[in-house]
Amino acid sequence: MDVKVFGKPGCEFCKTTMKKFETFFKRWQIDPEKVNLNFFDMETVDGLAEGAFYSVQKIPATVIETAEGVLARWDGQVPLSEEFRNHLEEFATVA
Amino acid sequence: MQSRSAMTQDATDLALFVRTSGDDIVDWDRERIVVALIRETNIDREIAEEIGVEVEVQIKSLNLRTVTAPLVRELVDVKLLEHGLEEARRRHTRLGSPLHDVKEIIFNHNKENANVPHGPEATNLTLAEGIKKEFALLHVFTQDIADAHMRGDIHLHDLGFIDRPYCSGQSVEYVKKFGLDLPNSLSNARPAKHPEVLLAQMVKFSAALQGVFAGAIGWDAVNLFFAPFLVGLSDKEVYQIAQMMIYEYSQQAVARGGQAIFSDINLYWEIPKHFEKVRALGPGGEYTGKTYADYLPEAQRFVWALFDVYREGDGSGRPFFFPKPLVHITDKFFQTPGHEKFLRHISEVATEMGNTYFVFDRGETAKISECCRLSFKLEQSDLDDASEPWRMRYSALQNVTVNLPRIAFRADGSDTKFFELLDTHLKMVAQAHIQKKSFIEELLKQGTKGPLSMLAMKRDGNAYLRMWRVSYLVGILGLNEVVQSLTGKELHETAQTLKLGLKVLSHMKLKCEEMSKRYKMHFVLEQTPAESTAYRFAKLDLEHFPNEAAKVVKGNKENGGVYYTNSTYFNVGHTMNPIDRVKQEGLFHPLIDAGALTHVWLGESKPHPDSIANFVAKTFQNTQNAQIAFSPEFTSCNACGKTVRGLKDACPHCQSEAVEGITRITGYFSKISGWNKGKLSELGERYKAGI
Repeated sequence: MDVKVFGKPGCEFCKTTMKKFETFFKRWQIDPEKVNLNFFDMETVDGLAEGAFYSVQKIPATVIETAEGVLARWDGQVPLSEEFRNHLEEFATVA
Repeated sequence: MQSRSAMTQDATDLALFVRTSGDDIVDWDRERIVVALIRETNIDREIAEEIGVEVEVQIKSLNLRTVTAPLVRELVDVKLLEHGLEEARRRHTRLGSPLHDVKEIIFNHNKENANVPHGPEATNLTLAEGIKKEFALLHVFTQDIADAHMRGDIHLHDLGFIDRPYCSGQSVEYVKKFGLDLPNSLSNARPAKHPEVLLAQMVKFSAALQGVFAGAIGWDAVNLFFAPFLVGLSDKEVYQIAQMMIYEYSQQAVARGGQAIFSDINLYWEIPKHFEKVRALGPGGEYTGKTYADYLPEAQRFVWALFDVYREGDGSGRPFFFPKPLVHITDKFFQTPGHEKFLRHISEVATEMGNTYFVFDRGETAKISECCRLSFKLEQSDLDDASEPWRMRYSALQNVTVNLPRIAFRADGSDTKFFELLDTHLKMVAQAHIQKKSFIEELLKQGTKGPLSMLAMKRDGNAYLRMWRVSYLVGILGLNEVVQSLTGKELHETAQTLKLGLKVLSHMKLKCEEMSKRYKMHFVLEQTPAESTAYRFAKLDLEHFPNEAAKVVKGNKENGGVYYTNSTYFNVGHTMNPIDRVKQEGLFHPLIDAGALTHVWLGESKPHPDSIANFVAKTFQNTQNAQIAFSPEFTSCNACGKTVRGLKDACPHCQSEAVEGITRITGYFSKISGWNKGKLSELGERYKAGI
């Protein structure tokens, strides 16, 4: 599974989104082997290209996807932990 | 200058006459060579005299009775080379065409631009373009840039129009406010008081603009700005004005080489937000006391009538080629009463005739589309200008396209090397733009007495061409062949190749932003229409990189009808559901600031207008696609005058073979007989589908 956060260095909400995922990944002890968490800086070539692939227009944007497709996404907002918890539950080792 | 007696003394034994470039036959005079050499090349008089003597000796040895000035110049050029004076030879070059080529040009159709007919005006254009192109490559651009163009590393578009900016978009408000008062015109007209006069002034102004721009002439929110002139008119009268507008633009063969004016009209069903509170200009250039928001009914009646005319087609039922109608689809469009019916109306025109361009302005973005691919997002300063819309004038100064597939060939499969080389090429593009900018500025310095007087006129306090607001286009071509060359698969084939394509575009976009800051010039990516460049690059690459190019070039290699896929498009022949194509090609569009477009090639199929309307609404809501157009094909019979759907070898009505195929070549409709070989191959390979 992949969690992709799209943002820019000057965007505080983007930093918050990333920190939030990092915090909850630690809290729930998400297995990093099974779930990748990545930040894509839209001011870099790779970040912009990845953002274009997911049609990111508003930041922060977050996409949770598996090989089967996108499970959830948020555009222009910081996701609430309740909103993404259910997608990550099966990878959590702490309740 | 040598005295006449001295000259005669030198030339007596030659008894030669020279046909000069000034339409004169004069006695041989060696001093003329010397004077020209010093004036044109700055070499020392001593060397110039030496060369003069050498040329005289050579001419004498040839036993000629009459020589021509071009021959003398050629002989002088050879001597300059023999003296090792290559730069002087370059400066002394004569520009022009060989006799054989001129005959070819006069007798045969030049297919570089399918919009140019074949006739005396057209051949004048071709010949003049030839000279200006040589001039540009020798004088305007440095040798490295000129060589890069000649080699096909980059393409400097419209070199034959080197002394003009590329394209222009403006507002009817300019004509409404200032009338038709152009520098050098034989008579001036005050602001129009009647819609017919406003239309006449607008069309004449377009024709005049076409004389100083190389490409499209676009007009913003035409139906809205005409609205104050249409108050109280009956439907029939409004229809009449609409009909006059379309016929005036489509029939005027007044532009470069007897072309129709390459014209775009931008249209809205709603009142665009940035014009809602703007004071409306009415007859006589006077404010009406109302704002544009008050003119919604007239604006809507007019745009409806325009599409009635497009639906009907010309006298033979053919689609009108110009002006191209660009309808802006926005959030507000869907909130404006009557939008369902209007969308169906323009969708009917799209499926029946193909004219409608659907331009998607999402969120707060407002755009002015100025030619088939060029549109601008309005910045805050533009929105400020909107209170006096005549100030809203935009131009692109030049378009330079990069031969992306060739960079991939040179990178030899290495992504890293590809991006390094891409940077080198983009720097070259920036230099080419700086050089053209400097040349245009030199011409503009002459003000209203100079060759670009129309662009220097200051009716509203600023020069018509607002140099600080112009864009410099960086054209994209053959992205599909880039990824195919680097990975062995085409853009549409895997998510990885699609991502690589997006990475190339992202790299180019960020580089443009970086160069914009460094040079304080606005560099933007553009989907190059590449009507002839797609063919030229492919042909050159098959010569210079035969092994690499043969693997990716599209079209028919046997008959030379080869091409690269335009801009960021997917392979035109790939069998793909149109909505998937619109969606996936649309992923590139937000990266292309100067506008982008996806074609839906309809061929003979004719989807129901409701399907088109539904498709358009979904494209707006669910994709990032910036613009779509539906392109049907037609056959028009020159014998019986009837027009039918599809491309036919003979007329189904009268069986005559004197038929003309019509469809979109790139961003506009044209007759297929005028297409180059590459585009003809592409036409054969286009995947055509209903929706």
